[in-house]
Amino acid sequence: MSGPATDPAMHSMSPRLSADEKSLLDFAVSLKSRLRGPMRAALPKAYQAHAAPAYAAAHGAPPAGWREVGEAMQGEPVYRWWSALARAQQEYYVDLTASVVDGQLPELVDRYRAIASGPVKGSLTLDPGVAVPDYQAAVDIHCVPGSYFIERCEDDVWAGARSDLGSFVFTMGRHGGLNEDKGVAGARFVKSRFPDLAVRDILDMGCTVGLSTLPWVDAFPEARVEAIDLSAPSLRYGHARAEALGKEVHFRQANAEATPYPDESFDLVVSHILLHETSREALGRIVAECHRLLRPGGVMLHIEVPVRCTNPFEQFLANWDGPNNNEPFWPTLAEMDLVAPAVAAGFPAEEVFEAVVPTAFHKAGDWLGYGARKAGGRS
Amino acid sequence: MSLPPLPRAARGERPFFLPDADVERLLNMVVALTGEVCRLEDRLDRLERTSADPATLAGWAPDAEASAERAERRAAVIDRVFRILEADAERVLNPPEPMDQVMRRLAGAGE
Ligand SMILES: C[S@@+](CC[C@H](N)C(=O)[O-])C[C@H]1O[C@@H](n2cnc3c(N)ncnc32)[C@H](O)[C@@H]1O
Repeated sequence: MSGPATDPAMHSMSPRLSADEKSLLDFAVSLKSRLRGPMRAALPKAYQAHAAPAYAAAHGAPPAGWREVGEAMQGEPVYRWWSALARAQQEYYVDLTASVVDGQLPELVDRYRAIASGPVKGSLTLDPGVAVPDYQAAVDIHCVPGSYFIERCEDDVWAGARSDLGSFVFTMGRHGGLNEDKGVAGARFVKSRFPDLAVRDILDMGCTVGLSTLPWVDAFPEARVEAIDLSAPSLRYGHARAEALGKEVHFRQANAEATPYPDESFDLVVSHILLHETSREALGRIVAECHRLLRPGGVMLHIEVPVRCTNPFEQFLANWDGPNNNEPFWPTLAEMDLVAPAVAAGFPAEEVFEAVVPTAFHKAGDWLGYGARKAGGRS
Repeated sequence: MSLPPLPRAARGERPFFLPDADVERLLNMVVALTGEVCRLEDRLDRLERTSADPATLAGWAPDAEASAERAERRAAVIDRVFRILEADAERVLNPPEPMDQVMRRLAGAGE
């Protein structure tokens, strides 16, 4: 693989792009990459040269934690402008992808219906009784108006199609043409860390449109793959997308805190960037549900954004999305003891891990892998 | 199928980073306008490369070389529009000597 993908890989469910729309998306990607350029490079210098000394002079001590770093940085023009531009870019690309998909929604719904009513390998089970919890309803996560849940017509797939297109722009093509990095990287990690694990059943929690689910189908061709999410429009789109790409996945609308599956149904329970969109209480319940669902010796793996930093300044920047891009739980997750919820769920303390999971594509930096192996089951 | 319009605002308070929020609103408009400029550049490029035969035009997509040229042009538009922000960032990395200090030094002892 030579570099980031310049175009999303197309499948028969993909939103189509006119030449003009493609130009606007290209611009959004170019502008986003600029946010990692000279302005970003100047932030640590502005901190060391002015912000930290000024804070120390006013408070008698340098900033102790990321919040204090934030207070110190508020007055730095380069930080203000970088943030203002980052927020503007976020709103711009969200609005662009939203309107591109909106303009072709009737056709996308038709394509979804045609695929879903034809011969399929996988399945889709919706449950309108699944409620949207407060941590998903309080704000529209990462500033997408309508979030994952807005439905404006029968068989609406808008939120899923926008998320598929938007993920490509958001990751600037650096996570693969199908945005499969998290799943590919996670599966590689499991195979190298748990070579003895026999995998017959896999569950992916918080799958959205299944970007990270499909790589598990490829990595474990003998296994049955189930995927759950709260969002019906994402699941509809994800089901049709998986079928369009020829992958067997069984999608279900369910809450990861309390799924309808029987005890000990899976050998592997995974998620990808789900936990940072939940809450402290929900995270504990999700980890407990993973333990309940795993067979003895089974493995839980949550792939997360790399929230853990070693100094307060980097932590402040890593937490930027929390208050500024509608990711309210992210900074809490960055500081949470993740061993305790796993142990409370029943995992042996010595089987709980946090690990660096390297990107399989061109992501800047690595993923955080958090998980545990359930007791028993090994010969 | 007639759909109700999508909301334009994401639920949740919007932070403003600049001391004057109206300046930041203008920044958002500049970002959108810059996108339009890039789009028009690409459209002209398409016309030029196809010599505007409507049939050719409709089916034309840039090859790898044309995509790379466009990416460079796009970067150059961003360079020009957002130059002041990156210039300020350079000045943070390499702070210039204050002007009055330079003036005093160049004036020498004679003043
Ligand atoms: C950032 S997205 C996940 C992206 C996806 N895993 C991927 O790799 O492309 C978070 C998803 O988690 C879902 N979600 C949040 N809380 C959930 C819960 N309690 N149960 C199931 N899904 C949940 C949201 O609906 C959303 O689709």
